[in-house]
Amino acid sequence: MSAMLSVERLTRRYGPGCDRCLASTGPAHGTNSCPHCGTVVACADVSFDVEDGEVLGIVGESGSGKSTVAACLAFDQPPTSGQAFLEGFDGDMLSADAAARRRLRNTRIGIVYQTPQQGLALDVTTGGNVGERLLAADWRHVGRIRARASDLLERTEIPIARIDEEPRAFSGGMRQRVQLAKALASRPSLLILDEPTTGLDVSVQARILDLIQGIQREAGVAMVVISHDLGVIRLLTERTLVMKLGRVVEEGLTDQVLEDPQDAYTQLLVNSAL
Amino acid sequence: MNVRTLLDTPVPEPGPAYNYAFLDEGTKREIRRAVLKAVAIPGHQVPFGSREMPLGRGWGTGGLQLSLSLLGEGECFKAIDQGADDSVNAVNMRRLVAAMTDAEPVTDTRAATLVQSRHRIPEERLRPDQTLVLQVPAPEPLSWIEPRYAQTQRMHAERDYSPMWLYLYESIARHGEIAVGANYPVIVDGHYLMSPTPIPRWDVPKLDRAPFLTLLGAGREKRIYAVPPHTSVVPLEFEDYRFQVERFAQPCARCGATDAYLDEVLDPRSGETVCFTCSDTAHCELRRTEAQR
Amino acid sequence: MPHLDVRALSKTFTMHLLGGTTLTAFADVSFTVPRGRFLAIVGRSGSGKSSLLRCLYRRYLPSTGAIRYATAGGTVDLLSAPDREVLRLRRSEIGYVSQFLQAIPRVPSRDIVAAPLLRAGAEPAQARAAADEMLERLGMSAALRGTFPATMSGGERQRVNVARALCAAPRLLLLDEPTSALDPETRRLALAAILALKRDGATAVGIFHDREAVEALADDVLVLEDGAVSWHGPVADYATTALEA
Repeated sequence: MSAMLSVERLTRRYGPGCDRCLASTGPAHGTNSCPHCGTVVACADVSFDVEDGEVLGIVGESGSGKSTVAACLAFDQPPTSGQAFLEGFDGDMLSADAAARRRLRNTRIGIVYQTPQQGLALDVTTGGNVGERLLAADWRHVGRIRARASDLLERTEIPIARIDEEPRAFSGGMRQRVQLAKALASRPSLLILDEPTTGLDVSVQARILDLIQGIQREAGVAMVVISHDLGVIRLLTERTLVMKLGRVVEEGLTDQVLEDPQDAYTQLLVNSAL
Repeated sequence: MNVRTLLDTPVPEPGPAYNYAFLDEGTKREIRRAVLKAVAIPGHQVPFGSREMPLGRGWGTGGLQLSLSLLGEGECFKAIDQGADDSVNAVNMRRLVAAMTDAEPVTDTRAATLVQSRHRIPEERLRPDQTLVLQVPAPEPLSWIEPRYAQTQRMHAERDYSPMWLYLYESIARHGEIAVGANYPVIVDGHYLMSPTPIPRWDVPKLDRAPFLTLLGAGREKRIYAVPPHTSVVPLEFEDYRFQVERFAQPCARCGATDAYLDEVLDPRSGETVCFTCSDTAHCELRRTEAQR
Repeated sequence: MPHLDVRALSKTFTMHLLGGTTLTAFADVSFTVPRGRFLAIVGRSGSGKSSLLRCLYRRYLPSTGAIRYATAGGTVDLLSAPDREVLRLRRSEIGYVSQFLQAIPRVPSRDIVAAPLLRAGAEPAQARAAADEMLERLGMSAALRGTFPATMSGGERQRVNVARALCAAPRLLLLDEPTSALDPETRRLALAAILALKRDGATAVGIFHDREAVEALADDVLVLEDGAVSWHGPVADYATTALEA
């Protein structure tokens, strides 16, 4: 099986950048800020691939650069360097032209953000939020759009009667489920979940995680789950990358990374959680 | 002084203080160049340096600048406001044009070579030798959903109109229909989303593959755009929520027309509908004259 | 060719949080398991037997040595095999039963047991039927099969755990005290189910608390003492030695 997504040496810097940025930052230097030019190296040389039906975890503390990886893959941020290849798309998707990127974003890539405001228009109806991706994919039949949105809302346990309500009136957990429904609307090849349950009550978290698992079992998408929560990573993923200060410090089978971590930072992470 | 006597008042000779057609030659050239560009890129808004005119911005200065740049000897100029030739604004436009150019002011649509209009397209089918100039209050159709100029530019460039489709979807979800009366968004030549100006939906099909040239001028917003002859103009519609023109329950109370856009006449005291009459007064007049004959 | 060929395997933990202190779980362990044979690993707690088993599953990353595992497509070194290869083998032919059930919460038992079959590409209805059958063989009532393990007793939960590993009919079964939490009757059922798998040709490496299980299942025994092999031989010889103090 070939990789659905293949990421090669993804790097994102904020600042002017200099020749010494990469050599002067990272876990070995205890900082992601270049001492020579002040540039923040949010992530550097991040490489991985994900197959169809596979779930990859990226774990790390805030500031580790894991969300920057998500933002680059969802085209929310342009990378400074590096490439990403999505099966069926010719060439590096990160350097594709704006229209092609938008098309990929609307049809092949779904993302669920930690904060629903990032992924949803709170003043647009729930059906409209879910349907937006379908409209972008040139669906021009309101009845069919609503039927698909209803299916997805049912799947994500939102009462269909609320299809014409604005998510502004919804609880945090419901909003996350609407985000999921929206992300799934165009049957994406790649689903990125950036801290999908952070900030939610434990019981609400559980339902979302159940839902994500069900989706993974049924839809067979390639998923990248980004979380600082090792429980989420253990539950959802089979392979995991550990990031610290913008670099991948460890990667492996999720159970191995969590039960026999090799890197000092991963050991700290695992021990802090227990 | 009523409208009729105003119209009959002799047009004063332009004084030496004014250039032909009011605008200086450089300005007219700039506007014509903008027109050429607009014709070359149907539906695309071309910026131009809108001048101060002897009428307030928002009162048709864009349309007027277009007309003045184009009118020469042997032209016949018709000005209408919401379909009427005799509204104050239309009358003043016509007077100004008559005073400043060699064009002859007319009210008969068939006689006109250039029709400048606010919010209507004449019922009379325009010919290839006629030009329609529409006055534009707000040229950017995406301003309904996106206030940032850089964003609307990007959306046009990438043909990213899904937010507009979402706007229409939301209208259906909330109101059961596409609640857009006038200024119905259209796609021109398969690319640009365009505001056809606040013409009623009734007039929108008249633009599609029309034999005549339509120029649209926004004086306040400093934009010129165009629909060249034989260019497709397609309203946004869903397969199950089609674009529809207005329907009228009664014929025109004056001329009996059933195939024209009608204005509702209300009793000012009771607020009740008294009757419907043609919005295009010249057309209505013509039908009545023909009926009498 | 043996099904499993372990060569000079060692596992040393480096504990960075304790200033880089190292701890050797076991060192220089070598053994082979022919296809269809059962090897029991015995030893006191702390002797390294659980770590060894986890290394065989790649849940722990061995430090040095080799774990040559024979598949239809050739021999794979489980120590250096890419993560995906290990995942594929786990899905298709290597089963692991831990001492306690680790499962996704809020999934009914039947579905937990059926999950590996589904991942291997089985039809949902067939997978659930097979899961039902295995749970029934382990004595779980039909009513319980539809409930979440979280609501069950430890013994019931462990039945789900055993059933999940056995249901997928693995070619190599790694058993980490699978029957320790079971009541005698269920233990008997579980051992019978494991034996049935053995009859079908499966290979196994297992840690068992009780001597009965060792004698019922194992062909060979390997004794670990302080992380080193102190004895390795047929179960019949093991039974006659005085090692079990």
